[in-house]
Amino acid sequence: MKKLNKKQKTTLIRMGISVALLIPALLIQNMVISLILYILSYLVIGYEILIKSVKNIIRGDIFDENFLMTIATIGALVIKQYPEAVAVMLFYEIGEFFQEYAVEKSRKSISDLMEIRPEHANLITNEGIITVQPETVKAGDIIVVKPGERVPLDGIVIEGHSALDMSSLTGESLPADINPDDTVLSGSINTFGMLKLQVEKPYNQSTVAGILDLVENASSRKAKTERIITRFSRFYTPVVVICAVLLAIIPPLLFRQRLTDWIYRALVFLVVSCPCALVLSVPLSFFSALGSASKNGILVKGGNCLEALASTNSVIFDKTGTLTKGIFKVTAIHPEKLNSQQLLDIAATAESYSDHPISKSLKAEYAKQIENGRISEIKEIAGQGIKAVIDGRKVSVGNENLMEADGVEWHRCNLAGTIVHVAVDDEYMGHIVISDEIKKDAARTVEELKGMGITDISMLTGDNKSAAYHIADKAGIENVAHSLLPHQKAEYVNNKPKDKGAVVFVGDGINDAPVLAQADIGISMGLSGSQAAIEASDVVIMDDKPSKVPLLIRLSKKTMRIAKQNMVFAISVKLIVLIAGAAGLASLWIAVFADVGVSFLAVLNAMRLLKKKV
Amino acid sequence: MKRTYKLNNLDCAACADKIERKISKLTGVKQVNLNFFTKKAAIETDSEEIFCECEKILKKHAGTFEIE
Repeated sequence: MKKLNKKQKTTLIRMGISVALLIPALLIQNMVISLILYILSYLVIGYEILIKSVKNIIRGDIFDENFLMTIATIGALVIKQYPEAVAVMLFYEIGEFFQEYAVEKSRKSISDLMEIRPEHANLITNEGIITVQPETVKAGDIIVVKPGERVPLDGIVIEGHSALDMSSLTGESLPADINPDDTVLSGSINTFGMLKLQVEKPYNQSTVAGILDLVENASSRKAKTERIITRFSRFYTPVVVICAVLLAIIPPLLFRQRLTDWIYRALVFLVVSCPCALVLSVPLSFFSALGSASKNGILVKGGNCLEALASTNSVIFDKTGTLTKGIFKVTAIHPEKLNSQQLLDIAATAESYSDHPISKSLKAEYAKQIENGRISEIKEIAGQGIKAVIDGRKVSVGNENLMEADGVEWHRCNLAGTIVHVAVDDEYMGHIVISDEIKKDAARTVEELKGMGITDISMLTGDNKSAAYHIADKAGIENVAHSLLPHQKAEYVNNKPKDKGAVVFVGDGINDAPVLAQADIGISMGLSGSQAAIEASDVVIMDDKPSKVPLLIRLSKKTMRIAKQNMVFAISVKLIVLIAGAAGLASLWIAVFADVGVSFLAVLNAMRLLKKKV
Repeated sequence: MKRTYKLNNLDCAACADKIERKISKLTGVKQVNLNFFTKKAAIETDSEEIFCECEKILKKHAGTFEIE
């Protein structure tokens, strides 16, 4: 409790003075003096609430907590329950104090995440380096990032070496080495070297803008549990207030009961009718969970996603870029009619216009400048490959389906990996083997999911059978669907039974937007993915580790448990106190506890979600 | 059009819910999201005049606000 703000400090002082006035008031026998002390003590602690509620009444806002507390305590004063009137105000303020402190703490841990917003960019112009707003920088501009500065925009390094601290983006504390030609993401911090970057995207399309937008709007996608409790609280307060009025009027009027007794019971109702414990308890659980996920490098678009994830029944992984690193390398060239270099030349030229990882690996292996003039009539056939005319000859480069379609007699390869077949004028020329490496945590991910009781785990890929099983076996996944076209992946996800629980699809987010959309929860990889992926998916894993999936599911289950505990606890305590209050068994002290005490405990419970370990 | 407001005096969760409901009932408001925990209100509307209406509500129920 070191960092108290000014308002909190004055509240503490007011509490102290109020208590100091209350104690002699309780001890002194003289009625008049003790009454004066009570009133002073009441005013010192309650004046803020009194002023607020007067303001509220002027604008026509009744049923707000300040108003309810004012009526309840003034009522207590009127029926001469002086110590209780002061105590209600006092405990209400103490409860609010702790509750605010706790909310502030979780708010802080989440706003730390929001601090990834870059302040400025150092733009290189003809007149030298000028400092500008990141929003004004255009794609293609060159900027300088000095040591200690936050990278303001996504870009490619053209000069300089350094290490980037990406902990605010990915949760990974180890800085990543950065060299020329590497892509750097906005929001990361440059640790030591001076970097010159070519900006790739304007600010509003950058990683940092995408993350901030997502975090700021996360609470709009509310979970069902949140909606239920908010709706409940909307009618709860008016109903309880009406009950209070009836309680004060009917028994004394019809059954000649003592008026003050029943007014006292009505006051208990007024105190318990405060809605904040209810409105706070459940949403705070979800909010804390979103914060905790962010801390772990997982961006979740809303409470509704957590709710669905808690009921996960099937998890479907895409292979490339999700379970594997997505870094392809040519591992073998098997020519049949030409020599190796000629085969590679045709394949690399055919794929020269594509950004697919396979194409990139071919170009990387070829390592020579490709003459654009040699190639024409390029046709990309989704899930099959590329057809084009190179040096005046008809060329097909792609998988076995493409060869079959053209009636080319192709040959099988025994090596694991993606096989790129090459045919010239419908004659088979040979194939190139490209393979990818499995991510370190892939097998652990599958194991953890199975340990949680999620048995329906599968892997999808557009690659051939041998490449698919090569990875699936290492990851420990038995259900494999291979050689799929993009729409077949979407169909596969769509065919999963939806009534047993959520169907989760995990992809790299580059070209699987339709598949992400078919799943109940679409999870994409943020580092290899793009802003388009962030938009298309419900969850983004910033450091591309599949092991974040089981971690997230664990967190969602914990969140639902805590949200439900809070809901049941808040509602049941209030109901019990209402019943006891109506029967004349509950004092105003207990009523105050049912309001602020419950809020405070619910906040503490929700804060368990912010613990580092999930 | 989208605008984010920071509401520093927002101190009660039920009030936040009330403000959100009132703004969402205005015609021309496409989306409103009031986050009690970040003390931020993100509002999307059709036109500038509607922001004025929203700001009136914010001012009335949350006291002061800052445009981000």
